[in-house]
Amino acid sequence: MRILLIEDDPDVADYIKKGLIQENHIVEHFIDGKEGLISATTETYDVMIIDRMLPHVEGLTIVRTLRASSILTPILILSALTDVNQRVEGLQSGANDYLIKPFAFSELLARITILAQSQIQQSAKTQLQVGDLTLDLLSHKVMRENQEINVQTTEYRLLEYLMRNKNQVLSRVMLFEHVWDYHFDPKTNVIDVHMSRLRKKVDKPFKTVLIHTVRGAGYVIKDS
Amino acid sequence: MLLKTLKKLTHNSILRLVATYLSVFVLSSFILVAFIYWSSIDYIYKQLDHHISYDYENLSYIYQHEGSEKLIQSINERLKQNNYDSIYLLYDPNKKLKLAGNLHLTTASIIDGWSIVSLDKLSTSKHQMAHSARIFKNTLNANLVLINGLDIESAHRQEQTIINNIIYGVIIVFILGVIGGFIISINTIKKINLINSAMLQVGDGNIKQRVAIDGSDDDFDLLAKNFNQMLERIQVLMESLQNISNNIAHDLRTPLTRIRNRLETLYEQCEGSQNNTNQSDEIELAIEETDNLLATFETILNINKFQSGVQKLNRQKISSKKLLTDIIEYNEPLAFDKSINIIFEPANDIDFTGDQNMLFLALTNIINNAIKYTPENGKITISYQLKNSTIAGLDLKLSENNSYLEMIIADNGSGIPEQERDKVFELFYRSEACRSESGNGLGLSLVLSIIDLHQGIIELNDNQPGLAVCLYLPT
Repeated sequence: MRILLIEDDPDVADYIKKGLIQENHIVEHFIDGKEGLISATTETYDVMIIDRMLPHVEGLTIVRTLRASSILTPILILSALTDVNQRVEGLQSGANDYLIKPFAFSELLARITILAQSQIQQSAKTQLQVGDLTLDLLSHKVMRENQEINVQTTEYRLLEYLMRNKNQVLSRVMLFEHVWDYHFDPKTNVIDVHMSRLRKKVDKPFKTVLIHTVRGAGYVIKDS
Repeated sequence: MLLKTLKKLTHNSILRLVATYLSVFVLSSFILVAFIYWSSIDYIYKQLDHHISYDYENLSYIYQHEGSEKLIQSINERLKQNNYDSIYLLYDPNKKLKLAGNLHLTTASIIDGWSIVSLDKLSTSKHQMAHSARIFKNTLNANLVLINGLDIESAHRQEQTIINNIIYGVIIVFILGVIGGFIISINTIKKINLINSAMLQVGDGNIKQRVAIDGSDDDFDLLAKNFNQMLERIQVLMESLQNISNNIAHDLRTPLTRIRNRLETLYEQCEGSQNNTNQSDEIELAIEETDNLLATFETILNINKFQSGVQKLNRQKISSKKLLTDIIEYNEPLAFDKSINIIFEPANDIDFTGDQNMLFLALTNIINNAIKYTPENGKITISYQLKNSTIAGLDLKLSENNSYLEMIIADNGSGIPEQERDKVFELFYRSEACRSESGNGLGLSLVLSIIDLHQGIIELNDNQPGLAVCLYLPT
């Protein structure tokens, strides 16, 4: 992926760049808001990571300008401003996601990968499949090895979100935000309990394990 | 209803101030007027007595130098000349014989010297019948007594006029007093209210609010100036406190996150080499510990932010039914693992305004506590209802319809002893009984700061057995 990074803190920028390059992504980095904006409008990127407090042109202004000129590249805002209101303001300006500093690299990676994938439309699908596990989006039926698995609403939503982003690590905060639709870090292990319930139904009775815990990062569903 | 309005009126400080001002004003003018009244009346009657004595001395002189014949003559002359004011009686007490004058002889029975008599039966003149008179009785010699005096009707009339004028004067003073009182009080109250509303706003967390100064340099201006100075100082202190918090956030959170990320990288390397399972387990534990530390930091910063009023609420309409259903559904697996039965039977939905993310956080904390301290196979009951402010004497800033939302989360666990119920809201406070449980002692402090921000009230009550957490939120 070709990723644009506009970030004025050299430590944070280095850290992100190193991580992304290790994951085989191409990173264009700008320190100055103005230069970043020019590059964002003239070149094509898969994802943009933009800091809020930047020299010359503020982060949200860049987002608004890009959206106003119909550039719809997925944007993730990075910010040390942690208020829910500031987060809402960020999303209202046209950004697709918002990550609060300090953050774990695995979280950033998970979020931008999903942002990039969201560009490739999945809406035509009526069925999601991972290995021999299928989820019917219309009938809400979950099948594995020709057996129907009875899941509850929350479990279904967790599974759907995991399957839509298969092979992609999802952090606990991301799962909480998507499945429960509340926007803050609950800082509890309740998500793990929900996940273990889901795994008991989806993985335990079968030979192969599809849902994996990524320690310190979150969960992933993948073809074994 | 009328009684209530009346009670309210007497509590109104404008009216109280006006009443006090007016009573002092009216009392002092009354004393002044009374003094003027008494001295004028005294003067009028002294003047009267002076005339009577002067007349008596004249007549006495005539008698001594020119004899009784001349006296009778001059009395008659005087009666003829005078209007009906003058009163005379000259008589012989031995023969009981009236010699001159316009009084009946029966008047002779009065005492010597000064007295006031009613003329209705004594006067021979019809004009004086209804009047009173001031008279002076004196013996000229053994055979001759003279009574002379003046009708005091005119003095009475003067007195009446003075009283009338005083009444009009007092009424005018009263009216002017009311008007003046209102003008002065309204101005005062206005200035006090200005300071009051500024203080209220500061109390609500708007520390940048200042009291307007009108430049009149009066006491209120001075008060406002001092108040503003105090606020300035508080603001500086608060900002420095905030800076400390932010410094903690930046100086400790960021390096802690870096440590966490390094550990993560290390963990991946260990996982890759396959033969270091012991090490990778240790690293995993270290990551968990740093995560806990980061969570504690963020909670402290959040509590600080909520308490200082820096964090503003993202107010929106919330359905209490949906909020509680979501929270229960989210926490249900924890209860399930301990076979705890959560009972929630919502009847009708109640909408209220608040920050749903913050309330989710607060209520999750409360329910997590309830699950933690309820034994296996226990029971947690969650309910809500709309209540009217007149029922409970709660100091709530209520919505216009005077109603508030009551939420009760009751468990049948170990409960909290009464003497500890206030302490559990303190930062890092952990009850002796639950030190063995995991936790950082911040949960209820966070809950309290969120409920405070919503201008609600949280109460811990005995559920016999167990704990009942009662939340009261403005709708």
